[in-house]
Amino acid sequence: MRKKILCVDDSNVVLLMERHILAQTNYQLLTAGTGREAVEIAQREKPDLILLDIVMPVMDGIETCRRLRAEESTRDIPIIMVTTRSEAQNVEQSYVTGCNEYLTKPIDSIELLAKVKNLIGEEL
Amino acid sequence: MKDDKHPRAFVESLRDQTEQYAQNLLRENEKLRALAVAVEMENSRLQEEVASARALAGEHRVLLEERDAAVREKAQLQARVDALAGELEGLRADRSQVAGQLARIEHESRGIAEQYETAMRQNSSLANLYVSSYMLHSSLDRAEVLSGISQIIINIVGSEDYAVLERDGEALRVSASSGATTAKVEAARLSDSVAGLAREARVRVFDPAMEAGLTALIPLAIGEYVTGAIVIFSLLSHKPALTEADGEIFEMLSAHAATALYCASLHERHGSEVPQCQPAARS
Repeated sequence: MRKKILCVDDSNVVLLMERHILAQTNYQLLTAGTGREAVEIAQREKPDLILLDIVMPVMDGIETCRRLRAEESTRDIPIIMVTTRSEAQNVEQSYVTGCNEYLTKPIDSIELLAKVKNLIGEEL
Repeated sequence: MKDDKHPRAFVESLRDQTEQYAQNLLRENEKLRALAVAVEMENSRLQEEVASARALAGEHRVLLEERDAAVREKAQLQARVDALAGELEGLRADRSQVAGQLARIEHESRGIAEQYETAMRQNSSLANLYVSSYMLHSSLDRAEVLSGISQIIINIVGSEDYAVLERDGEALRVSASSGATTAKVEAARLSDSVAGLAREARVRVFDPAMEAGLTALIPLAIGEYVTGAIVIFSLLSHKPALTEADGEIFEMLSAHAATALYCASLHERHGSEVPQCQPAARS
């Protein structure tokens, strides 16, 4: 069964970019435009990895990550935070909340693929 | 004759002589026995010596055989050493050849890795262009087009400090902005140099060290007609400088953002007159 990656971002540009980058692999891609939607999809689909934007309206990435970590069924899903924020306090807060990796925008395709591969292995 | 006269004496004399002779014979016999014993002993000793000599001779023969075997073995070993030396030379030559092949493969591998990275960068750049183009032309809603431009600048170029200015008559008005203070945006809007540079319809990238407050100026142009400009004041803190790929995005934005905004504005004003541009009726 193909591994699933859930891409969460309120920006269609980012979702399209992530889709294009990951289209080179054989992962199954799911998308969510909000944190709430991401939690629902994660509980239902049990993805192997989540790419999570931090700055989102209503429920930001930090809160989304916190909720995913609080849920038994989504607790162990690896999370890569994808954000324009590179300040140390944002990075620290993300790791404290429970993310596994941190990636800054603009997304570097090679870096993203390397981090994904590192966390869930290659799916060619 | 005295003996005749004394036969008794003669007999006694004869008996003494006989007895002495017997004694002599016994002594001689003893000597002979002793000699026989000595001869026997000598014989035994000699036999032992002969046996020892034979044993030594046997041992010598064995040693000779062993020596011959050792000589043969040495010759065989020497032949084997010679063969192994030849084999070693061959292996050394093979190793040298393999090392050369390995170095060539490593070189090729590095080249392929570099080509792969270049291809990935080009692919990424093309994907960014595609995504940008898609975002600009996927809607006729002016707000969505402006949002698309903003998302491109934030997520693809990597700036949260920018303004989108559009021509309003001879002046420029602010259509969208992020990060930058109102004063900075107003200064750019009213700047003659920004207006002048935008009119040149040419993307300008500035050295932030030389041009205080400006990183890039992207005119929004439809052909020769300049409809506005995107002013990028600064980049995200983790993005050190603009890249070649950003230049391609700027060129694309310059032409396509202007067209997209122009189309959205036209649609805003006259869309209702074009039946094909009406939302599909919901049953």
